[in-house]
Amino acid sequence: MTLERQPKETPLSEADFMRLFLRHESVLRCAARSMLSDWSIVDDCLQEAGITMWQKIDQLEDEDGFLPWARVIVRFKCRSAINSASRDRLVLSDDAIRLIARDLDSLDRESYESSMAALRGCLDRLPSHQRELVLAPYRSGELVEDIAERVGKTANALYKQLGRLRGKLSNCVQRTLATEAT
Amino acid sequence: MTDRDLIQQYLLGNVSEEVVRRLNNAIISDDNFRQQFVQDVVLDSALREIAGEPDSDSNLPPRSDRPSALQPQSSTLRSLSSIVGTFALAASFLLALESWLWLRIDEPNHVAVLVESEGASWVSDMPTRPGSRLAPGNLELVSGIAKLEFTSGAKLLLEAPASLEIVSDMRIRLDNGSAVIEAPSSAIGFVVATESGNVTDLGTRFGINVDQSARTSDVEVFDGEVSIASESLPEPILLKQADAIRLHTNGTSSNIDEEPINPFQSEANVSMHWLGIAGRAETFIRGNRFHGPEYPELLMVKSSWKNNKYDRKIVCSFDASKSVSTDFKSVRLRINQVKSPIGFASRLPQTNVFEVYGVASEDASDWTSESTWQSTPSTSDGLLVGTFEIPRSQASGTCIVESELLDQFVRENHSRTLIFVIVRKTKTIQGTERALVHAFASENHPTVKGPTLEFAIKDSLGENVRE
Repeated sequence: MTLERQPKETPLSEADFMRLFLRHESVLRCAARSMLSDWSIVDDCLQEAGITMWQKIDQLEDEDGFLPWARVIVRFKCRSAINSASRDRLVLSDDAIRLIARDLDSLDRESYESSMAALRGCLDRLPSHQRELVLAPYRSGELVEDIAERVGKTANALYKQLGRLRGKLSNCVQRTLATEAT
Repeated sequence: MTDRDLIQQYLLGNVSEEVVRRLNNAIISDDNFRQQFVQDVVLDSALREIAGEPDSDSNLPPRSDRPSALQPQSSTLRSLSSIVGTFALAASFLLALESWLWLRIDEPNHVAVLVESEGASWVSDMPTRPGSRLAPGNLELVSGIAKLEFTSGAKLLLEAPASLEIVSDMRIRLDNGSAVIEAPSSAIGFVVATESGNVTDLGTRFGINVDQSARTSDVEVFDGEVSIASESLPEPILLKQADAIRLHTNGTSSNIDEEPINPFQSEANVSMHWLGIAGRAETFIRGNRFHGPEYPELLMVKSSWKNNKYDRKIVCSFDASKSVSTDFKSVRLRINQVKSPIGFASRLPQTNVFEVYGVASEDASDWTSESTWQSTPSTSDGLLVGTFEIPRSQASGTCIVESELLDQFVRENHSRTLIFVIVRKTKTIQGTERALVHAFASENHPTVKGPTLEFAIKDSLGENVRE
């Protein structure tokens, strides 16, 4: 997407770009995650989007516009990834993605950080072995099936347990955020 | 699977055509569901971010194919380094970026691991869960016992109350408390510094007890040798197995004859070990026919001032007949208090007394978690064998009952199942708020040991003391 505009007087420096990217990275990651069910593809898309952002940095008028502009680029990359994937990959429909994107537009860094802080508090309230179980799939990058074998459960049982624990955390976070809002 | 469950299973990667189809429909047709989906996506990302942080440790069994110290590479680092790599950016910027990133993901310099602890409560700004990695810094063990292993190989057993400073993987400063240090050959030269002198481990196992108020340090060597340097000694001395010495900060030293230093009270010249038998225990609530336990990892005890309607008692049983002969030197019952989820401590008097009754009746051993208050052993069925006290202010700690009566009870009933009933004698102060229910770890507790009956047994082969 190219837009004609006057060359800027003071273009954004590399340091500015880095700062902006790092500041908004978590929110951009959520946008990618909402479209893709595979975390490693999410990472790849973020990476490619970052390169594209830097290549097109001149398009950006001012810092306030960074997040919406970057989000568009991220979505574009994710869309490419979905299209180039095999047809039987289990993905959300275009309509679903479009609607989700609308909802996600209101997510900014502040609200992400609040959710994260609430999540930390909720995680602390879990007994430590449950906390470890919830975090395990992310830590090692292994499949739930392998973790199940390590801890002596069937994969089915572990999926159920993780689903339950995550649901509990989700409720806890929402309750925490709701009480903070009042 | 409910629709909400779908979201989590999708995010977990447990998908099928059916799941995705239902998810799509729900997202499109239901605004609230879609909002829930978005919230759960945010949580998923946040969980991943938290899991990637360097100071969180996993207690799960380790993976066999990867060393457990490997951290997942920060995806931020990957994103940025690829951008940086693709373009020739100014050297000064790269330097700034690197230091910024290392600040974020640098792992603090750890010199020891908290291997395990029992009934421990700490004052420290370092993580103190078993498995935590410790950097140089201060630690105070307020109650319980902890075992640390240094990266040099040295092992430290600490008993509360104790305050120490970890200086490096080869040096600690003990300001107060009891410790037993074991230094394998890789850790020869490990130093315990105290106000009254420094003890250098030359390949030994030794105990040290620092009394901060009396300003003395007692050192006793169990095995091997230590070198001690102190103002109270004209020159460094070598202390050998079974030797003991007391160092004073005011510059004098004295010999200790038979003062036991080892926190586990074994005699220096007789090798013994403690054998712990884990017990099976339950809480019973008077008048409560339903007790699917709300807290299966806890045992709870209470007695109220009112009509005793919701009193709670703990019944635990131990089967020592197979593992221990009557040839034990002493026995004690250990139960670990943990933070109680119910009630307020202010409604209790300053000191709370707990009574332990031993029940010998054969019929009583048939109780199960399904039993009612009436059918389970009660204090009137048994014999008072000991008491222990917990001050109101104490939220957690280890409680030990050791007495002649307990010893006698165990010896007499050794071949049967040993049953104990624990009740709180102290009643709550009148009032309307919920009174504190004291809680102890049950055998299901994830980090603290449940009730244990510990026997001190002489080693027939004179082996080193084990716990």
